[in-house]
Amino acid sequence: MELKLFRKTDLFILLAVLTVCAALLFLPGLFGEGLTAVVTVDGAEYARVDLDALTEPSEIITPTEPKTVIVFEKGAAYFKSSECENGLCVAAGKLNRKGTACACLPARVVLTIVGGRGDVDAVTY
Amino acid sequence: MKRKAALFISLAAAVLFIAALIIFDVPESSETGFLMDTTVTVSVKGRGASPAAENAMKIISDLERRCISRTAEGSDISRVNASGRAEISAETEEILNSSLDICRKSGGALDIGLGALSGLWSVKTGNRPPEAALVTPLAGEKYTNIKCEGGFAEAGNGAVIDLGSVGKGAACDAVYKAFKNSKVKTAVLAVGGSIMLYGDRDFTIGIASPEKGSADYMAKLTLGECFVSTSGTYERYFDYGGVRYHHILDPKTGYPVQNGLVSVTVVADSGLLSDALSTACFVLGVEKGAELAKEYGCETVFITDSGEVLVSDGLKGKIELTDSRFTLS
Repeated sequence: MELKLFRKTDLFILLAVLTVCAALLFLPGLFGEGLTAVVTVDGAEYARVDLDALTEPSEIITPTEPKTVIVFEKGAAYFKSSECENGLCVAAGKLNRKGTACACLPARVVLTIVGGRGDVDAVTY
Repeated sequence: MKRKAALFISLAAAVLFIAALIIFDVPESSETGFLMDTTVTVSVKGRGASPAAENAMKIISDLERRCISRTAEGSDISRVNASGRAEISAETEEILNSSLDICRKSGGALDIGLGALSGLWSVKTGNRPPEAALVTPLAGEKYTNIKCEGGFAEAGNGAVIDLGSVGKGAACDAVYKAFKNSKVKTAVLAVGGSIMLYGDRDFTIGIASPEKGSADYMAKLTLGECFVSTSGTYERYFDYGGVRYHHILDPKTGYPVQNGLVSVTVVADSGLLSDALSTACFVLGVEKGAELAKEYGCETVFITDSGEVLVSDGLKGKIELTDSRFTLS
């Protein structure tokens, strides 16, 4: 009589356990942080908004001198207004790609897009 | 019994293998700050990633405050500018000498002695150009009046040292040296638009869109370990009387360069070199700028206001345009 170490059902069990383990290992990377807007004031994080999860737009006013207004909407964020002289941050328009950023230098406010499925490590400008 | 034991051992081995993958996963860390009048971000992978990222921010802050800031009280450069001659640190001496070499080789297209002129043009003082009577006396070759040797630096005859066009790249170099003596595996550091790519992997860098600056990109570059900087007309500017006044000044005239370029990106093996050459090549224009970059063994991407993208030989095949309004030529 032939003695088998494994039966078909054992192999299925083994395969199932391996699949679950692999899923636990890799799924967080695949479904990690969604497209997220991060606002820093003077280098410190002031706001973090999951842009993929938004159902309706929201906005914040930064506690800076000059003040800036930043809008978050599904898939994008942008400087709506700024009391600074040149308004370059407002002129930059909407940010919707990972790795992009926009700063209001007079207010020392930086809006950065992180997470999501982007394909650049950084933007040179 | 043998079958059950074999199954148990197999399952245990599988779980241990997965656990080992998790335990030995390479740690990651990132930091963001506001230094050198710009945003700084660093993302690090490797053992000790978190302290390495924190250390990167400290290194840049220290370099700015102690060495290269024009405004920080007691910094090497502010003391030289204030008294005409002062003792400086070895780091500042190295940065000054490297910068002066590029000033000379670029024929003054890069001029680190134009602090008075750049101060006059500072966009923070208002959105209109200064009067010609104020601009003209401050223009012209000034770097030749800067001397640096034996731990001392001098600046006279109208030269006011301004390391704004090399400082961000120099900060990348300082962090690179620290990472070389650490367990860091890969890292991406962005000091404003000056970027350090560290480690043995391919990185993808976006080149800023001339319309939206760092808020979007019009091309992607695939690069290994290197330093990348860009000078563009969109970074700091104001419009007045139908003319765009940007921050890249022609040292000879004292006015913003108007030569049909919107940006120049330089890829180099040193941060200071990429930063300095992006300015110098912009001022020189496509032909002379490309020649200067070649002399230093650097690669370039010139973008014109008509949407032409001119790429040096070493970057051909490594660039992908993502905006159909631009064409490779």
